[in-house]
Amino acid sequence: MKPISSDNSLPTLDEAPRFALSRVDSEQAPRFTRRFRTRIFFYITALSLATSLTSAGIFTWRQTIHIDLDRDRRAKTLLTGLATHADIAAYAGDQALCELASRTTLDEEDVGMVAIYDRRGKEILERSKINSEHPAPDPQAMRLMLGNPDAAPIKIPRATFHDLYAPIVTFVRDPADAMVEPGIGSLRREVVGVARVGLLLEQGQRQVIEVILWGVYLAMGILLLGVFAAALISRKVSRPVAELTLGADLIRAGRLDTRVNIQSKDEIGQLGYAFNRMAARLAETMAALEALNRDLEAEVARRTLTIQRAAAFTALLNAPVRQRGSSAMAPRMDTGEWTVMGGKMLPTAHASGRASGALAQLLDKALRALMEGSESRAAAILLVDEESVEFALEVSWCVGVVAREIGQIPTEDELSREAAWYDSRRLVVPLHMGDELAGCILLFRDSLPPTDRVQFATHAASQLAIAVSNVLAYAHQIHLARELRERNVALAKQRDQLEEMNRLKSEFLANTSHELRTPLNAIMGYSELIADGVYGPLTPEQQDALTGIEESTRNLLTLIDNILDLAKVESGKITLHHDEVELRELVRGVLTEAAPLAKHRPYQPELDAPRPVTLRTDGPKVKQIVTNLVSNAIKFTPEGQVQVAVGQDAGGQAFIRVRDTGIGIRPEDQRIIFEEFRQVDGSYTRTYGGTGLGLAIARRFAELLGAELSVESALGVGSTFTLRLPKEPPAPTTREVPIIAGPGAGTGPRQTRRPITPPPVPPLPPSVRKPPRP
Amino acid sequence: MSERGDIDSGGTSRSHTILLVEDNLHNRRIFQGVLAHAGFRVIEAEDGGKALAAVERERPDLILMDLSIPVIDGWECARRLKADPETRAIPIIALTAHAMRGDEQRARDAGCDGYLPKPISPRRVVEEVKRALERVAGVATG
Repeated sequence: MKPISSDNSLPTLDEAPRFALSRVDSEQAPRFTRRFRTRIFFYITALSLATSLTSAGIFTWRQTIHIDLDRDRRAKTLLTGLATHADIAAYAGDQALCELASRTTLDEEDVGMVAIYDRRGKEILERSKINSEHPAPDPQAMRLMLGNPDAAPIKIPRATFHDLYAPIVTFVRDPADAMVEPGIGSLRREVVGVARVGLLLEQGQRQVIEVILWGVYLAMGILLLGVFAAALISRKVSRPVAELTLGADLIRAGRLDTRVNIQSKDEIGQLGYAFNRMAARLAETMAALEALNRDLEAEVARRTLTIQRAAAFTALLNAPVRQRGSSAMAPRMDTGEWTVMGGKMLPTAHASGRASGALAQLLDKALRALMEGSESRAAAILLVDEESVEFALEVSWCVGVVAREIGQIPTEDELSREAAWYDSRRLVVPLHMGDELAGCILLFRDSLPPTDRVQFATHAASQLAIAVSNVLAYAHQIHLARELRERNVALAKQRDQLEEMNRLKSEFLANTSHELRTPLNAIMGYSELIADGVYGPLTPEQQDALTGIEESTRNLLTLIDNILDLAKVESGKITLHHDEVELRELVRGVLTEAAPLAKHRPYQPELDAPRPVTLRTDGPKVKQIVTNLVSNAIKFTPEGQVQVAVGQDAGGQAFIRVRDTGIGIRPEDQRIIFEEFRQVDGSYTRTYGGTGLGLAIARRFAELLGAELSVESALGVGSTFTLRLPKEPPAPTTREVPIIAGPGAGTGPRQTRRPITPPPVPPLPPSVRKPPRP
Repeated sequence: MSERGDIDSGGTSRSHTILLVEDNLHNRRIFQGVLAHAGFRVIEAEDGGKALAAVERERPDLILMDLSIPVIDGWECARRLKADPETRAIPIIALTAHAMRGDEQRARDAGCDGYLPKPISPRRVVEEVKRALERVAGVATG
């Protein structure tokens, strides 16, 4: 390629048809720098220039000649006039007459000098407007004139004027004849003088200049017209040529659809028509060539593909299945999805949830390769539908199959045999996984294939069977994993719902607590004010009644506290706060607070604690347990003794023991006293009051603290409740979501506040559940 | 009526003004009665709006504040009063039926100086009020 090709704006080889350009470009194109239009313009302009110059020259020349002729004619006229007028004066030699005769002539503008000479050449008169010049008469001219009456006027050019001479002739009667015969015959022409006129050239020269000027104007005018005409003509003539040139360029560049638009009826029109015909023919030829080329390429591509497919099938079946099993690279296949395959709408059925992207991919590739190898026009794979109760084959993948043909499910007989062709056009290859029939491969042809094709197909199908079983196994794994994921998601959702429920529950608890306490406050307040005599003095009976009210109110408050505590335990609302707790001090506080309960008892609860016992636990919870045990003991011990012991056993385990000499519990009842709302006998409730919640709460709290709560009792002798506290608080349970996520939700060893979730609590037996209130 | 004699002999209480914020009519009567009986001047307000207005008007020496009250709740009232330099010094004792775990902390966080859970003995309320006032007086004189 020469550098010139980089200059022109041809499209690149890629864009242009590859046949047209290669040869053209390899030649060196001459440089076409001149323009046709410019040349025409130039030519016409030159022509018009020549014309104008010529015509102006001719004009000037002719006009100049005319001016000379005119002047000569005028000079003759002037001379003749002068000669005629001055004949008498010359004859007479009278200067005055001469002057008279010459005046009119001298008055003429272009007459510079007038002179009249007598017959001997002697000057009679000479008048001149030209002061500077008084040339003497030309002697030769004078001689010519004087001798010859018929002499033509003579012109002698001088520097600034034409010196003109003419004879003055008059008719003179011959004196001899005068008497004989008067008349014309006796008259003789005789030169009596010479008239001389100096005709100034000045005016003539002015005229010539004028003429030349006009000539120049003329030339310019013609030139202008010529240029204008040149522009017009060059434009008109060059347009079709330019179009033809452009068209030719475009065709050269490969734009074979180029056509020129030249409408004229002349040769150029003919040329345009021929050009268009030529372009059309060229395009046809080109298209034919390309089509031929394409066919060749397609043929090559087809053969290449055949080879590639054969190789791919082998590779496909030899490669480990798991590596292909990545669902990321595989198209997704879902139940009931429809897709277009081979131009036909078909349900891309699947393997009943076993199908994964990997399976679909494998089946698609393998079936296509199988089709190619066996020269079939359609292929399908049918797999056993695992979800169906009976044996059923389901279309898993098909390539180029008409729906009608898939409907031809192979018979059991066909499936039980080796792979074989049926009806000369249907190859059925059973697929086995282990000993089990898992499905079959179907190949469709229009005629029985050559033997080698059958061998290829049956062999490939058996390999495919192995590959499919591998993929199915893998897909099953994936399915299981997905199921697990989904189940986890569902569980997380359930957990979230539970959390929400818990939140609502705790809100409800808080509201209930608040709403119960407010009226209780009023009851207690009024009772106290009345008891204090604020509203007036009281009778002893009224005093007693008030005591009843106060006691009942306290019971009610305890009940409310207990119910709320229980509800909190139920909803996992209890949070443990472990701290250093001194048990002796704690129990002392409990006994002080319980003192009013024993107000009407003949005894006061006693404390038996020789030394302090310190350990890490949740103090308020322990206090609650002990309070419940003590109030219970007081409640069921009308007389006798209630004693609380605090200490450590031999193993160092801390215990709190509440012993009473009350009514006792039957062995068979000792199991149920820790259940909610249970008292051993309904009549106890009437006798001793209480809700039966105290021990249940104590047990729940003990469980939370990792403590052990036990009872020993004998009916009519008394009961002993023992709380054994662990040396170390129990580790928080590892439930996924803490019910209360405190700042110390982590499991750091230095955290003192840990969210504790209670062990799962069995639901209340239906018999003890309260009936729902409307 | 023996308590009354004690209260009267306390000497410091006569001139003290207590703002009692309580929406429950009975509880208001009870506390009003017992406090008035103890010799305090008691102003009553049944919601938060009136309580704030009363503080503005009367400048009480102590506020007994129920927390669940209409218009503006007690926590918000406490926050506002403690945020205002003019009223910051007035002790606020929460007198509330919010007696669950954490409720005391919530009350103290809002700015309450004391916390009395309902139900409560009216006598105890008078004692707590007196104690709080003595504490204030002790700080003032000391």
